[in-house]
Amino acid sequence: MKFRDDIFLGLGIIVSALAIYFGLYIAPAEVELGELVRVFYLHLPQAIICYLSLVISVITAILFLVKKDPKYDALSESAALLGLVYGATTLISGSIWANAAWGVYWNWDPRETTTLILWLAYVGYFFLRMSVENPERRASVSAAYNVLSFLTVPLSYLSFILWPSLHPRLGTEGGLGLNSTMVQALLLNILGALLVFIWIFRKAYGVRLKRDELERLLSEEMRDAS
Amino acid sequence: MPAEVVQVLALYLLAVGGLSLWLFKRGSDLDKKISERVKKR
Repeated sequence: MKFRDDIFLGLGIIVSALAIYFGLYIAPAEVELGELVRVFYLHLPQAIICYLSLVISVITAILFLVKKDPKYDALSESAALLGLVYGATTLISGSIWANAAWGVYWNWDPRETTTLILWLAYVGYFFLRMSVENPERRASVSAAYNVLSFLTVPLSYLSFILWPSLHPRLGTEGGLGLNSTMVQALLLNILGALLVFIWIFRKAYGVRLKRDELERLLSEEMRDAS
Repeated sequence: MPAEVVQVLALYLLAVGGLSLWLFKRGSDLDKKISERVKKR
């Protein structure tokens, strides 16, 4: 486990460093956006990983509801934590880009608004977890809430199809026109971010298991004392 | 390179680095507490 963790971390750092260098210095500027397109190489992988984390989180939440195995609750919470962090960086990097491209940090574009709703829904998930003391009840209630809050993920993803939006799209008329070097830079950045994500996810899951172990030891101590 | 690119890169590194450090610290704190409890028994 430890050796495999180190491989993911090492590969993640190497691929990410190469990908960032490739995206920032080798890939050419875009016709309309110019140098600003380089924000996209960092922003899109973060958004993809945010969605991926929340997909993992909801799948493991459903598995918990079906099988009642605590390991699925641990996986679900760990993935939701990463979804929250990557969601925050997606929102902030998106608004930095929006300010440069549209002149304002926030303009309630459907993509921005629905992603903010998604993020707030998962902030609620952690508040819910903090508010329930009983571990079994906490796991069941938060898994059910997770399934409901996951509805915000397709809403965010499809928002620019459902409503008129300024958010750029790949390969559409008026959208970003990326040549093959730019696509390579994008794919390399996605791969690098994915490897780093796998390492952090495994680490977060490991920490969550340790917390469960400590809670178990403490409850045994309390039971023995009474 | 535009300042926005540097800002977004710094944000990403800060978030990923910060989360990793927090997980390392939390993990080692929990290890310490677990071994204390186990020793007590």
